[in-house]
Amino acid sequence: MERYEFEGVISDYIDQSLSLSKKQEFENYMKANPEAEAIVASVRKTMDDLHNLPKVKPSSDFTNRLWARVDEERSKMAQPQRVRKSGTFLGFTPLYAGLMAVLVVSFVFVGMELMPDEIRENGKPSYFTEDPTIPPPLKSNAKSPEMMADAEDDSLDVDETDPDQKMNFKNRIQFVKDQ
Amino acid sequence: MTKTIRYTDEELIKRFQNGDENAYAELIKRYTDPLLNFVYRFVNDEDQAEDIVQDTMVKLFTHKHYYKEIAKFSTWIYTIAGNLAKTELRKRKRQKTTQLSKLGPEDMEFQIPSDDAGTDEGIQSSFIEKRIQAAIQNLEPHFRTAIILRDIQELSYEEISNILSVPLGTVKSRINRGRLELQTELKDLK
Repeated sequence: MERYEFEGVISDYIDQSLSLSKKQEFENYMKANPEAEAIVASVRKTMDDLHNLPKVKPSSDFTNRLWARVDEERSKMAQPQRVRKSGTFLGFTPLYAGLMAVLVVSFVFVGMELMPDEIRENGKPSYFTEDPTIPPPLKSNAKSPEMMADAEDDSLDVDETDPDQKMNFKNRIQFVKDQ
Repeated sequence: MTKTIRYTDEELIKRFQNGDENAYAELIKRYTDPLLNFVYRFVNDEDQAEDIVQDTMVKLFTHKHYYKEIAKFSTWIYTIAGNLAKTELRKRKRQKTTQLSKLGPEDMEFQIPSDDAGTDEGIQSSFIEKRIQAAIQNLEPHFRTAIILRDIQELSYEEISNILSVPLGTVKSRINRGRLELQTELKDLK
């Protein structure tokens, strides 16, 4: 048995919870080391001293003071639980509720500003109509011949037989910062 | 002849949970002294120990329904008292001035018992008690609790294990270490 092992089982030896073989080993170690035997005796004495420490007694008014405190607690417990005013609006504190209201108003305002004029005036877009005479909006880039005929003049409307008109883009080209 | 019934602690707390305040009074009677001694050895101040035991008893009154029968009542009440005592120690540690924290165990050597203590034997036993109490205070809190519960309160290893919420092996090891440290510090006591 080594020293650390001896020290680790001193309490087990005193409590008589060591196995027979371990107990024998422990006692052999003590015989071989008188200092170890002195340690065991000293631990036993310390345990006795602890056991024999004088008992502390409560002061004479301990019980009265305790019951006074208990009565106090009892009266507290008997009082109806006051429902604390939450002071919130839909779960928000006044500050956050105010901020949230400002956000909602801003959102609505910005939404209104971004809305096209025709929707704002008529309540619905011009293509959204129940008049069967008005054709539905075109979905593709293909243009009907009638619409092509009504289209404004563009650069393709050039009489190629007129030499003056041909290649004359003077009035059509404008440079940046052109005076 | 009147037959007195002795209820177990667990029966008493059950009765108290059902509204019987006499059961509470009986529990106070049974546990005031043991808890006071446990807490006093832990905090080393009688007035504070009394306050802590009162707090424990008030907690028992206000939180009686927290006790569940899965544990022994003694384990539960010692756990409450132990936790309150630890809180008190932590509070005290924070308040301690630097000057006081510099006091070491050697300063205890100069604490001479007062002249009006009585006989020589009384003086001697008071001195020994103070030395032992000082040695207990010098133990680390987890060794201290285990030693007080085992060697002063004489609780079983299993109960201590439940109170401290540590395995049985840890309890045994702490008690063994604590005893060795105490004997080193008190070996000069004859």
